[in-house]
Amino acid sequence: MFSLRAMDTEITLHAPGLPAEHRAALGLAVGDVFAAAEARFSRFLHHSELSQLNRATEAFAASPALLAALLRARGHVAMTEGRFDPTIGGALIAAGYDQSFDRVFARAGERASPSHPRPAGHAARRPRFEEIDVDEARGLVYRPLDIQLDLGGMIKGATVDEASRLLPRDAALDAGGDAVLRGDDPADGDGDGSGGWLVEVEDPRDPDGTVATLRLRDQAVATSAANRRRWRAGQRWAHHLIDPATGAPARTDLLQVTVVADRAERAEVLAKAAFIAGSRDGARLLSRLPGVGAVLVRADGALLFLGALDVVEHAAAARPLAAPSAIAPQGGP
Amino acid sequence: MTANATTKDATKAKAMTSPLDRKKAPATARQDPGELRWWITAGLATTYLVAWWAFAPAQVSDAPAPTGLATEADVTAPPVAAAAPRSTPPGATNVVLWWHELPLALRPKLELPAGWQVATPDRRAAPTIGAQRAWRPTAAYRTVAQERRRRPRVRTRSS
Repeated sequence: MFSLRAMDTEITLHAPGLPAEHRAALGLAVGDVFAAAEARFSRFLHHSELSQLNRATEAFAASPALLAALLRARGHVAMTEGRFDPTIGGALIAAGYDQSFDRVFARAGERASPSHPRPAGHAARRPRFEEIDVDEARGLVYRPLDIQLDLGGMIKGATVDEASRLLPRDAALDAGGDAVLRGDDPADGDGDGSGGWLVEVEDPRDPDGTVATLRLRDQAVATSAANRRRWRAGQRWAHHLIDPATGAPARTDLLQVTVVADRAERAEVLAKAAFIAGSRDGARLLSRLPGVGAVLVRADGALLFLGALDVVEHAAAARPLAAPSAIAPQGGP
Repeated sequence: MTANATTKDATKAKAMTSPLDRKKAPATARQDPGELRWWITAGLATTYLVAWWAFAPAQVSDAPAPTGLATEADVTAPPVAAAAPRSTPPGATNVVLWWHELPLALRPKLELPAGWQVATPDRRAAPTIGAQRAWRPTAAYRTVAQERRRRPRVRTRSS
């Protein structure tokens, strides 16, 4: 195992079949991938390319990497019917998430309000990603001045995907819950025929608990919940999952969504979108996507499984989700 | 000095060392170590003999049973069902057989109470009580697929 910290997250590499020195070299190479992505896409680093774009007052000449990310984001917006939208950057700042989260959390105890509070009586505009004009041919990006972009989770997933290309055949890369599992866990070397990697899904009500154990092979997994990146804003709790429709932290009947997909970026985007959509619309969204499985933990304790999942163990409160209609209509308020 | 005086002095000296005088001499705080060792040895030997006589009468063929202690004949033997087959002939040594090592043809038919099962040497399949789990369940868990207990290396959560 090799661990490092980047993107405000613990990155862990599992490659038990590699000699220790090769594993360390691989870990450093993975670290370089994360460092490069953070330097380019962090909205908390003043000189990052994304921060420059967010400050640009005219057409911005974007790097191929940023252009590609914005074009992929456009596809994700369409896939999630707008529940994933990178133009929530301003709403995150308004909610108090204007610095890296450890600083937000440290500040919340002493100052329970956003650092840049929205002026009273000022109704926030609900920006949409369609307003971002990406000129692929000329490499230019046009951004309305009042829109701040945030690519946070999507870029973390994309970076896990990119770094996973460095992995040997039987290895796993875990970035704070966004993980790519490749091949088989060598611990299963004597072979019981099951193969793959076992992945625990955390219980959002108890960080030490587990609601399910899944078996993944050549797949990726990501989880979205409001139990970790949250802070006090005034009299209420705020969290980082902003509903683009309201511009505020999402209010939903879900505690957590875990998505299994072919790529970590796709899993991350879908988990966030389903969480924001609520159990009914989220299940409907996920169920029509091929090759996607999901574990939904509802606020009433129900544990719902969706799509093709290899569930090894799960909590007793679980039931398979045959169809989205099986869920009582308790969509987000 | 005269001869008479010499005799008196000798008698006086003899009288000073007579046994009577030694008895009347004040007792010293320290006893003779040899004598103490003898008493300790005698006490231990007596204790051993009494204990041996009291707790191991059956070992001694000629020793009479001490009063108040039950002999083997006094202990009520458990009732043995007349129809119960003996698994071993009288005098033979009892042996332990593992069920799974018996050839199929030799395995007697078992009628187990509901919910019971024959344990196997395979630890994966053997029922265990209070088996340590690698994870901590928060609710009642049920296993949907039993497999080799591999410890999950990856844990997905919001971050």
